[in-house]
Amino acid sequence: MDNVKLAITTLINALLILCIYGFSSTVSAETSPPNKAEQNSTRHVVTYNRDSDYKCTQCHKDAKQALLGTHGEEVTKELGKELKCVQCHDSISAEHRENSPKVTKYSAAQSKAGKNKHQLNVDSILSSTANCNECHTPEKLQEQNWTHDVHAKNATCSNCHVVHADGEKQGIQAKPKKQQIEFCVECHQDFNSTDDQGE
Amino acid sequence: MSCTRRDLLIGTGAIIFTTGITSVSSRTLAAVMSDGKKRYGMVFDSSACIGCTKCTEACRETNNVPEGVSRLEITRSGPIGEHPDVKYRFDRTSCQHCDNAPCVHVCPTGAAYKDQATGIVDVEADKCVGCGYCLVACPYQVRFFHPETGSADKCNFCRDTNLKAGKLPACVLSCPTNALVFGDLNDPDSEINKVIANNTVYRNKVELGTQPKLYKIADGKGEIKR
Repeated sequence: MDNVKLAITTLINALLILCIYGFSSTVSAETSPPNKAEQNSTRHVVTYNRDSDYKCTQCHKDAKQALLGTHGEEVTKELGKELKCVQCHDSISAEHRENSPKVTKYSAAQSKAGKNKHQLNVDSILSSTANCNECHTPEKLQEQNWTHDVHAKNATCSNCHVVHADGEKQGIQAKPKKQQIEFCVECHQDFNSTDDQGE
Repeated sequence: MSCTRRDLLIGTGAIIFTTGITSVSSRTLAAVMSDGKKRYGMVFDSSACIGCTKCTEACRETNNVPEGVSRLEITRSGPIGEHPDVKYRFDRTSCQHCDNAPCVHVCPTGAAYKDQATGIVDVEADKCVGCGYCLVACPYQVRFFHPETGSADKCNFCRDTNLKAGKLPACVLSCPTNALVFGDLNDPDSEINKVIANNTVYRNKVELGTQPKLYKIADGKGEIKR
C-alpha cells in the first residue's frame, strides 16, 4: 500500500515539476530577454496590454471603431485615458448572449407617445441620460444649445444624437440649420397629431 | 311772413353750428381708418410654440425673403429655472396688421396701404421710394428694406402667394404644434374668433391706438411683455 502511495506522490511531483517548467518556458518565450545589441541601445519596455474591450469587440466588431468617431481623441484628452465599453454599458450579465437582458442600453425614447416611438416615463429618461450628463454636464449643454434644457425630462440623448458614429459626426450635429429644424418638426408634429387623435 | 334780424342771426348761426360740427367730427386729431368687409387676423399661442423657427423658414421659402432680413421672427428669452426644469419663452415678431396702421398714415407715396377687402396691411413695391418713414413709424419695428427691390417689406399674410392660391399663410401651415391660427375676425363663426373667445389673449401696444390684429395667448411663464 505504501508503495502505491509513494508512486502516486512521485507521479504528482513529477507532473508539478513538468508544469512549472512548461509555464516558465512560455513566460520566458513571451518576455524573451532581448539580445545584446538591443540591450545596448534601448531597454525593453513592458507595456500594459490588457484590453477590457477585447471581448466586446469579438462580437460587436465595428462598435469600437465607430465610437471613436464621436468619443475618440477629444475624450482621451479630457479623461486622460480611452473610453471603455463598460463605462457606459455596465451590468453585463451571464445571459448576455441571449438578447442581452441586463446590460445598460441607450435607445431613442421620449416622454410623450408618438407613432413608432419608444415611450418612457420622466424618471427613466433622467436616469438614462444621467450617465452622459457626467461628462456632458447640464451647464455645458446649456451653453452649447438651449434645446438640451427643454428636453432634459422629455427625450434621451439618442433621440437626436448618434453616439456610435462612423467617422464624421452623424445625427443632428452634422446637419445644416434647415435640417436641424426638421428634427424638431418631425417629432413635435408626430406627438401633437397623436394627442389630437386621443382626445 | 316777417324775418327779423334776430331770427336771421339765429337761423344762420344754427346752420353754421350744425354744418360746422359735422365737418369737424369727420376729422379728429388722431388718424383713423375704416374697416373693410373682412378683417384677417392671427393668433399666436406662445404656450404652444416650441421655438423651432420652422415658420420663419417656411415664410422665407414661400415669399422669397433673402437671408439677412426676415418677415417673421421667433424671439427666445430665458433660461428660466434650473436643470432639469429649465424653460424658455417664445414670442412672435412680425407685422401686426393694424386696423389703424401708422406706417400707412406716414407713407408719402401711398405705397403702404391697408387692403380694404381683407384688412391686410401691404406694400406696393413699385410705389415705394425707400424713404424709410414707415420703418421708423412702426411701433413694432417689423419693417425692413428688401435687399433686392429696395422697397419697404414686411409680412402680408402671404397675400401674394399662399392666400392667392387659396391656402393658409406659410407659417400657419408649417407650424408643427398648431401654435398659429389665421382667419377672419369679422366672421363670428371663424376658428380664430373661437380661439380668442376661449383663451386669455393680449395684443402688443394697444395703448397706441394701432388696433393690431395679431393676438397672442400668454404662455404662463411670467409677466407678459407688451
